[in-house]
Amino acid sequence: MLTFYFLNVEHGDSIIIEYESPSGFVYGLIDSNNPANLSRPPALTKLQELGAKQLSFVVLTHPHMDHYNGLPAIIEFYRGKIGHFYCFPIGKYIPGRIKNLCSIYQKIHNSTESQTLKRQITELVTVFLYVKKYIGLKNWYEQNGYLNRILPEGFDEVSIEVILPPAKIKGSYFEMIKKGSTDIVNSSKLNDLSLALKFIYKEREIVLGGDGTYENWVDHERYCRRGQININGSVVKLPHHGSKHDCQLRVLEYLFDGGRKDKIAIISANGKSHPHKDVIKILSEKEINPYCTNLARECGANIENLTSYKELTPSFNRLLNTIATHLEKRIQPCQGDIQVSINSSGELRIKPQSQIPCPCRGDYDFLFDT
Amino acid sequence: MQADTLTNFDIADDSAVHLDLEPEKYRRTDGNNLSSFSRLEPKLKSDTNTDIDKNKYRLICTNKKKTMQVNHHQKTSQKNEVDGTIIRVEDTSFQCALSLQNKEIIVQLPKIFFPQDVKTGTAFNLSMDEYSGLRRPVVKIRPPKKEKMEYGNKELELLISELR
Repeated sequence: MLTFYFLNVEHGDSIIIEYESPSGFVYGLIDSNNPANLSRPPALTKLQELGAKQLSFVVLTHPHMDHYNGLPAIIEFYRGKIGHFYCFPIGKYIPGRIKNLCSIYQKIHNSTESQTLKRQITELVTVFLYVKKYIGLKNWYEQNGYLNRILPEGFDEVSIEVILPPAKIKGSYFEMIKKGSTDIVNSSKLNDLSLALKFIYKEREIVLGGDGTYENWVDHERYCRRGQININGSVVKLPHHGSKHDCQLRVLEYLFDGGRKDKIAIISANGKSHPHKDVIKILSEKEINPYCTNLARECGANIENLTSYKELTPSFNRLLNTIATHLEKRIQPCQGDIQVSINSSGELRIKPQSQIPCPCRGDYDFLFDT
Repeated sequence: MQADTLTNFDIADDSAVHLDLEPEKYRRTDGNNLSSFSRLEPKLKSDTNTDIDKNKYRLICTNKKKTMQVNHHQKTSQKNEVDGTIIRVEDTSFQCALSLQNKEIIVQLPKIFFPQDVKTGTAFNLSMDEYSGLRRPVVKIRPPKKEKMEYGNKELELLISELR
């Protein structure tokens, strides 16, 4: 049995993979987010709840806070018990690359007054340090490619492939690190580096899209169609939390298996800025069943009107509510944590934390039956 | 009713009450009284006992004064601007940390409000400009506060040196 736990970590990813092999259970972790900044991030709590004594692998898809927040605490907890660490291309094999990258981040850290930004940078540097200290450089693999198979221990019957980012992305990124350019952090293109993975088990494909960008998916499509290779996802964790740009019709049509009826889209977002209503609309039209960790705006989440700060005048609060998307608390959970299992016969089972009916999945269609 | 009258007059202190109770003060010396005050005068004199009403008015006004003091205090502590820092650059927006009294809140602001040459770490001030009843946000780039910049630098330096 292969089980994926998509944790409700608001706007971010935290995915635990559990595989029941003949010799027992093995675990993997993809990204971590810790929105409440708890000393024990949600992924660690869940791993302990599941009884994970060691982790076969940990993946960091790309260097954005909503994907690495809390990772140091997990790596430290499982010190010496993590088999492999896979991350976005960073050029760790080239001497001084990590040092240069950290110097860039240090430059930004020392020139900002924002405690949030400082904390984000410190957290990322701590990830690198703990991977080096507790997992070891020899077990640290940087990944890219269109179909690059990885082999973490214990996942014998499961094929795991890295399908993004394309190798060509690395060049400009490495060049910026070499030059010590702070543009590396200022770019909106950091998502281009994001890893995406494909799991194949019992003829089912599960795609974990990371924050993969539209351009990269189109590139992937071009490459794979030439080789007559397709992605036939029956479960897809939508790229970039269901963003309008990265989950366009072309991408969704490419990622999902057109022939299957039981197609599942997992959306790990806070429902405020993501997912986009157009994405939900496409999913409905394509008869893909969405499972959102939190209520989306499209479905009635009303966050803007809830926020008000005493320090600001009522009129300024109103202005702020008009122009800004608040990413603070007051999320409205929908499905919560989502558990997706594939048994040895290839049957798919979805178990959301909250069994809330969803109009986009057709759960209310019986009302219209005559 | 009397309280309403006071509110309409927007009386906030005892001297104003005193004025109301002494309509003689408004009487013009040439004998031509202003019509509005002449209407007020009989009501105050004929319907009420002056001593009792003085206290009554004072009580109302004292309360009003206190309320207004609280409001005034709140108004002075409430601001029409907030300092912030860009913490993440996205396609069409910036993720920003806005500094309130004791915490930072994270919001997304459209790129269109900002000048072009901003980047992660840029400090700014967001305020509200009001013109002909229309309110619009104004973003001004400012230098970061030095006393806050130094926070955590040594810790990061230690981490990086350990990583090397």
